[in-house]
Amino acid sequence: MVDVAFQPNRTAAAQSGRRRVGLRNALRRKSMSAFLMTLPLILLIAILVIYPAIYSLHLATLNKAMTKFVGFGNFEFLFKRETFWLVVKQSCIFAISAVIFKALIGFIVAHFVHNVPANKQRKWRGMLLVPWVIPPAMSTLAWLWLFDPSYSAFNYTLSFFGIGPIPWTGDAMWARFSVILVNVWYGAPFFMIMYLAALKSVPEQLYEAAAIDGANWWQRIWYVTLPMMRNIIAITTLFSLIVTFANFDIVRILTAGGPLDHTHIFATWAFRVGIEGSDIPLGASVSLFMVPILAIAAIFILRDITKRGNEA
Amino acid sequence: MADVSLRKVVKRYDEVEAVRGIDLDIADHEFVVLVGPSGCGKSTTLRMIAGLEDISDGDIMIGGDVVNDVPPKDRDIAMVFQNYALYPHMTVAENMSFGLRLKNYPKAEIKSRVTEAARMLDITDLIDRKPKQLSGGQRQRVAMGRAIVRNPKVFLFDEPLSNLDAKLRVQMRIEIKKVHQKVRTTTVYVTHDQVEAMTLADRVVVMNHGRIEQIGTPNELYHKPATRFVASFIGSPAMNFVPCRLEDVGGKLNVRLTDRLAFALPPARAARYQALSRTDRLLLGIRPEHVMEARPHAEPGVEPFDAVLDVTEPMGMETLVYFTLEGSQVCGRVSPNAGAQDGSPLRLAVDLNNMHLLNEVTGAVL
Repeated sequence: MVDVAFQPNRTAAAQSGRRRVGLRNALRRKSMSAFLMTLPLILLIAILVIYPAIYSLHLATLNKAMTKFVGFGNFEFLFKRETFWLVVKQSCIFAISAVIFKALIGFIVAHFVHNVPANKQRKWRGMLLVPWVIPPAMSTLAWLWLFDPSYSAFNYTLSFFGIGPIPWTGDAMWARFSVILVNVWYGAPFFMIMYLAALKSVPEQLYEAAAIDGANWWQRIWYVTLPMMRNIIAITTLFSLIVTFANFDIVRILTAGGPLDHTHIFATWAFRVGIEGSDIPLGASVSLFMVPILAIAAIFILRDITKRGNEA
Repeated sequence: MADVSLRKVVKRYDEVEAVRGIDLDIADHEFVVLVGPSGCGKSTTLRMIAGLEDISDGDIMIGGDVVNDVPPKDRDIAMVFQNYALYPHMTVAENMSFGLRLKNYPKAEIKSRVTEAARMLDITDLIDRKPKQLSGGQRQRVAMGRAIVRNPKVFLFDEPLSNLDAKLRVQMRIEIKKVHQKVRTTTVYVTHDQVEAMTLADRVVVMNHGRIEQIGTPNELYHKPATRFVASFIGSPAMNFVPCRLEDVGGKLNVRLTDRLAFALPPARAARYQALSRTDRLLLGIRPEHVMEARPHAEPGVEPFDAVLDVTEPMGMETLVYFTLEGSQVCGRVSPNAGAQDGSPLRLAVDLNNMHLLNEVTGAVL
């Protein structure tokens, strides 16, 4: 369509002036016209994404009163604070372990659902997606009640077995466990649905060929399912890593970073120091710190995704 | 290597019986082709031999052992699928050696077997490529290579040539035959293409509606079909069927096609059909090559008649002519020099020495 729209009119071009010929030539190139057509969207993205990004970079270089340029001063300050390193550690523990468990549980549940007869699958898919479709702020409140140390359902149930009471959100280790648990509960259905779609796209005959070749069920997963799902696993893992790393609501509602800042992750701590502590530049510096970490993760995971793409 | 036996094998899906109790004995080294229209149960039968489908009833034996409940990997079989089912993330060599690697064969042995199979199939240069870098014919060879390196008791082919274009199909057909001549492994091959069945098979099994219609060598099926289904399924163009009845005229037996057209049967045929009822509704079955142009000095049993041609199809070597007899379309094969033209009359002859007589109701060849 682009070619047709900018079809050169040779006689007219020969008669027109030199500048107009130059413009026509530029327009005639597909890339140029494609660029012009996407320009409105590029501008929109620039305004909505690039401007805030640059603005936060700018903010991170100011002092607390936002009156003076301090360069890397905020970062130097952060590196000296013990809480910052606690947040880095907790963010990594939180994101990595949550993503691993989400992926693992999603993978296993997807296999179960995949083996459910087709006519009953819709029901199961719908039910298993529930955690993902409830707004996390709401469902985390429910978890908060479940985790209540004195009168919660969990501790009540455990008391029958002589266990507890467990300080779900009161003790540093248990609080870390709890926020990860809720995040896994919330995010696993997304992995399940993505893996289910990927499983459905693996040709049945590959499994039959593997069965005849002598592969047991584990070897079938290892040599057929996983390689065939490699792309989708990489993409969902990266996507989930970013979202989990930047998680805010679950930690904010469940523990608000406590006890003693042990469950703070980047977003919640940035909120704490930036908004609640009225140090916007420091908050911006904290949240900016996520960018290089996620960029490295993205490069590693997507490194050869195009090479692997669509091998079938 | 081993023989394969099926005893009263049944496959039921809920209420549908896909395979309705078939008996089949396949000898060691034999190349057997299951052929039939889609839905006749041939692929299901093959998959039951492979162990990919449970059997609802009956027994399957490979090498004398009942394998009803033996999983596919322990049946020592290899299968070539219609869409090749190559592992897309593995190279050709890895695809071919996968089964051996799972069974922990020594590396040297795997390498020599893969090299040997690749040489046999002429894919040595492709050994490090991924399946997506191969053409359809090359993928087909790799799929066969994967079967060969395992050196199994039985090869199973499930419509392996259906995804190839016509020219390549002919070429691969010859390749498969060559491979079988070299490795001599017992082979069960499923196809819906009767030409493939005829050209490849030691014996052909014609299936229809989940039952075996007839088992025989390609020539037996062609010249002595047992039923109307086999007679019409085997051979291209298909056998002609014209309603007819028998009548006695002056002590001789005639076959009457229309009020004006009747042929005297040759003595051998007359003796064979003498006992049949004269009132039964019968079908005259005659292959196109036995309907040809009339020649001045006809052999005994070759009866001339006049026909007005509807359509002619010049094939180069011969011309196919189509005309109508009593509402049935009949195809004949005449010489390109016979002067056959659309819509024009032509004097033809029918070779009754090669005729078949069928019961119109039961479809049995009499």
